[in-house]
Amino acid sequence: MVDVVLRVDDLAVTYKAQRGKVQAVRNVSFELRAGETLAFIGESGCGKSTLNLALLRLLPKTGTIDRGNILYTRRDGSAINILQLGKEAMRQFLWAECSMVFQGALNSLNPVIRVCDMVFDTADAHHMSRRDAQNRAFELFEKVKLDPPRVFKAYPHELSGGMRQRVLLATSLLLRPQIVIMDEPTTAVDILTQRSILDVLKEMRQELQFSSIFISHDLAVAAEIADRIATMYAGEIVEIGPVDEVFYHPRHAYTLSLLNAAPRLSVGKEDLESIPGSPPDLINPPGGCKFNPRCAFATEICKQERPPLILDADHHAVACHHSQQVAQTRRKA
Amino acid sequence: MASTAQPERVDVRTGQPVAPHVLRKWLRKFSKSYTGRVVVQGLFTIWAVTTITFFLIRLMPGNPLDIKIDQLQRTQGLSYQEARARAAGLFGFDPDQPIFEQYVVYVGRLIQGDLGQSITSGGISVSSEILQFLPWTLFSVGLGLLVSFGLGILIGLAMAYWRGGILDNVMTVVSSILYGIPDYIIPLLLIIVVGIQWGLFSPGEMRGGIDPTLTPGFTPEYIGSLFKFALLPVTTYVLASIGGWVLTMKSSTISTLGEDYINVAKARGLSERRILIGYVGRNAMLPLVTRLAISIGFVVGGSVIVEELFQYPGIGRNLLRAINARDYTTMQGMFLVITIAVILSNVGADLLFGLLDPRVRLGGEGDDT
Amino acid sequence: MIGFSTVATTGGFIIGLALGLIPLATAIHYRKWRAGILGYIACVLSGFACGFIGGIPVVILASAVVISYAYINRQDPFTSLARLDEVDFEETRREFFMRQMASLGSVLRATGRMLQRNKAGFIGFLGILFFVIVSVFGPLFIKYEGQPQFQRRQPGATSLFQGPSAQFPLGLDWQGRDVLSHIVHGGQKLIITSVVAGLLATAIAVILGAAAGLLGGLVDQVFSALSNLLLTVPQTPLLIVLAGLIRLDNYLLLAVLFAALNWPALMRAIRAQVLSLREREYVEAAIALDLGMWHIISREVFPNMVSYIAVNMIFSIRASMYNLVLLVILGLVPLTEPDWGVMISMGRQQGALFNPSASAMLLAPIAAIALFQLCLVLFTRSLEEIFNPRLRSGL
Repeated sequence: MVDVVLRVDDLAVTYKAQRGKVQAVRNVSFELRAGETLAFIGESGCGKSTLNLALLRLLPKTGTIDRGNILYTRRDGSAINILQLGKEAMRQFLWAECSMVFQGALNSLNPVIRVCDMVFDTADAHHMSRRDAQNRAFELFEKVKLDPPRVFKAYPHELSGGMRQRVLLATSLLLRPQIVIMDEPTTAVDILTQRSILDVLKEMRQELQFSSIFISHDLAVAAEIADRIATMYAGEIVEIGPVDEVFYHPRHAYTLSLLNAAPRLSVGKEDLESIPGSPPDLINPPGGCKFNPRCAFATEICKQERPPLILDADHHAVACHHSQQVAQTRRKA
Repeated sequence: MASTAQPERVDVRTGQPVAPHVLRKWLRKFSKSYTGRVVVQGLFTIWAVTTITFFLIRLMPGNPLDIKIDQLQRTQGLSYQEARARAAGLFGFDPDQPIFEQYVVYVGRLIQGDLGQSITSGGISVSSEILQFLPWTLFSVGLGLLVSFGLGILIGLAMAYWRGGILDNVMTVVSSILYGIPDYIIPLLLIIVVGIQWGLFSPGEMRGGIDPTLTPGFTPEYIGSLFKFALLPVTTYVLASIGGWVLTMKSSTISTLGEDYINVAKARGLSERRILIGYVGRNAMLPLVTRLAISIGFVVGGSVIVEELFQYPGIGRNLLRAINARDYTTMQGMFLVITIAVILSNVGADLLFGLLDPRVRLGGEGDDT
Repeated sequence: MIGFSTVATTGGFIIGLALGLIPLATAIHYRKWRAGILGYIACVLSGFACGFIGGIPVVILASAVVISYAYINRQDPFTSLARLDEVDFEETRREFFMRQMASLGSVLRATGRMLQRNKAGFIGFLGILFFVIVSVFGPLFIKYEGQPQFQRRQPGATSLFQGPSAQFPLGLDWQGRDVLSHIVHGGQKLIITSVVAGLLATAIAVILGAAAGLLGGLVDQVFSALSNLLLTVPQTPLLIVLAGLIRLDNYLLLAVLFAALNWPALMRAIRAQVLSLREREYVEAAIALDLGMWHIISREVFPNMVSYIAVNMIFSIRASMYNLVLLVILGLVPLTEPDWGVMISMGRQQGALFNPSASAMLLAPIAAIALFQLCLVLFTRSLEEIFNPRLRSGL
């Protein structure tokens, strides 16, 4: 068993837009260990989805990976740089080593073919026999509490939203990948379905032991499912650490503000706090620390120098000039 | 096991259960289904067109029947009775009958396939004339449609997938021009520019449908001659309609490419070929199938002028001849047949659409679990 | 002066001078000199050209543009009051009228700006303008040759046909007449008939569509069935059959016939739009307040569909022209010269199709018809992109 499954070094992704170049992801480096779930949180447009697409090299034509390395270690111990894979090797890598569960299951399934056709397509592309694929699919469908014979032969529009999401979840494990990337899998469904999907996810993780990268803008979901949390802002990782550490003792002002902004049912009526200002323009981002225009702790140095991501405490890295100060500020309850 | 979900139907008065009539149940299911609705609508339109054509001819100013009676009286010196009897025979109805009875007789004959007799061609039945000419039109129009649709969607798909490439730029201009100019301009240009000015073929030679000296049969010469004479009309149909296919397919493909499931398919590691055909192509093609139905009507209509210019012996050219000769029964019969053909093809295309898009066929209901 | 006169006349000139004072006066009132002068010139030219029928629309449009310039400055410069989805029951008729005009004007100006950006549409627009100007003003400069010119026969030639030369840029037709003069004079009737047919078809479609959408029930079913029927029947065979049964020698009759065949397409679209608008709150409010059918149609429904109607009107014009030329080429309508379609039809009869020196005589009207239709298509497509931003390609 390998320890570190994925290592990302200094990744940068740029989109070309009419107005200029959008710095969607910058200076991103992190590690993913075997069997762990790493959750990325942050507001819309912070670069979480772009990062994931970049990991699988599924960016649209307007996006390019400017620099960086993505090192992946197979189960047998051999390591490859994903960014250097040829077209055919990349195709084989996709789904077999690393799969992805997209958000918005409404549109993630080809409406004119059945679920079984989709499974067989995947099997054919990866030299798996159709019989094996069907058996595996039935196995997985049962695990996600779907009725295999019925769902297998169904068209996507015959299934409800929750069922479709579960199909996506199940089929992502078809080829026994080491990593499963999940892009907001619970966003598009109602809260009861959300609950059942999370439960199913936890069960499967227990049984099948895969690592996963989980994207969410829902802090509660992330807290429940993740082992480690990474906060992203303006395309950069600003804080990363074990889930309890980050949530109970945040060391970056942005994380602190996010946590404070989430309304809670346990407390009585209170004023909603929000983060002042608006998301940064990624074509001309602010100098220094990108969060400085909206940060309550910002000082002169924050406008000049970009804080590097450094270990501040046990396994807890943060990119902030004033992390000590933030650590001492108590979260609101 | 005993009774299925269906509640038993009970006669309200007597309280006794009513055995469901199998045929009635099947009919109800059929009429509610997509296929049923499409077919019924087609039948209704055919009936409506038949009726309207019938009354149109009868009620036009300058009733052709009276004109014919008049003409027979003058040119052949017949008495009014004789002339009227003769005309009634030619036109296929008795003008003294009340018009509604005439209508019933007409429809009765129609169902049996009797379209009356040609007035000017001395007694040849209209249906036999139609059967003589219709295959030519179906052959050339069908071939043209197949080629233009097939080529069009391939080119459109390629243009959208490799957007901004040279194929895209060139074909956008070409397709826009071909789409914009009226389709009857194309045969004129073919004859004048390609034939006369450039001398690539001799228009005089290419008139007609087949070399009259050859004996019909499945010989290579005969088939070759068939295709040789069909070349110009088919080329015209293809050029006239391909522009629309290319542009529509391109835009349909572009919007399909933006769908999530394409990205998911890529993430699955599916081959580019499989994605293009099964995921992009099939979904992008769906909106075009409806257009296919509509275009059939246009191409059949366009066959009139194309066949006239190339002297191709199809039903379009002969409809024109019948009109110029004031042969009203032939005119009516041919028009009816053309319209029925178009309606049938519309129905066929609707059914095909139901086949291709399961959402339409199955009504698109999902459970709530 | 009044009627289908499309050739420039002195009477039209005077009318243009007179009516052009309306936008000019409005401009002076609002102190927008440049707009006013441009508007005045436009009115003079159009009145000059088209008499009453052509002049009035241009006067209205020019005034609308002028008003739209001025209207914004009068009020808060950041809010354009030229929006029609707010009904203010207090405003007077005059204010409402001004608001309508200003809205129309601002739409026109936005269209103008967008058109410059969309090259294909701009080319189309210029093309249409070119043909209209040639057809309207050309006859002033190039005289029409109606009589056969036997004296022009070349020694040794078997016919009077001639290819293009320095003296006759488009050659001579079968009667030795200058083709150029025929081209210049031959567009008027075609264009006017198509435009009238398009307007008629649009009018019918709007009325029937709005009625079907708003009234629903039996009215809706009848109109919808009728339009479905007309859409299913293949148009060309229907047209030629009708041409065979009725003597179509009158341009007005032809226009009415084309309009009768063209309205279904637009009617369905309008009906769909009306049905969707009916759900909107402000229409429900108007209905609840029992403001009357006319009010609902003119104030609530219509302004939201103007762009859609404009695009479809041009499409109708195109379809009518297509049908008209088709009938003429096939020789089914006894129309007279000068006419592009008649040139082709007569040329075919005279064997011009197979005569190399006669090619020019056929190619000229063919090119004119083809280019005009093409320009209409380009213009329509760019209009669609202008009014529906989602269709715009690229960023």
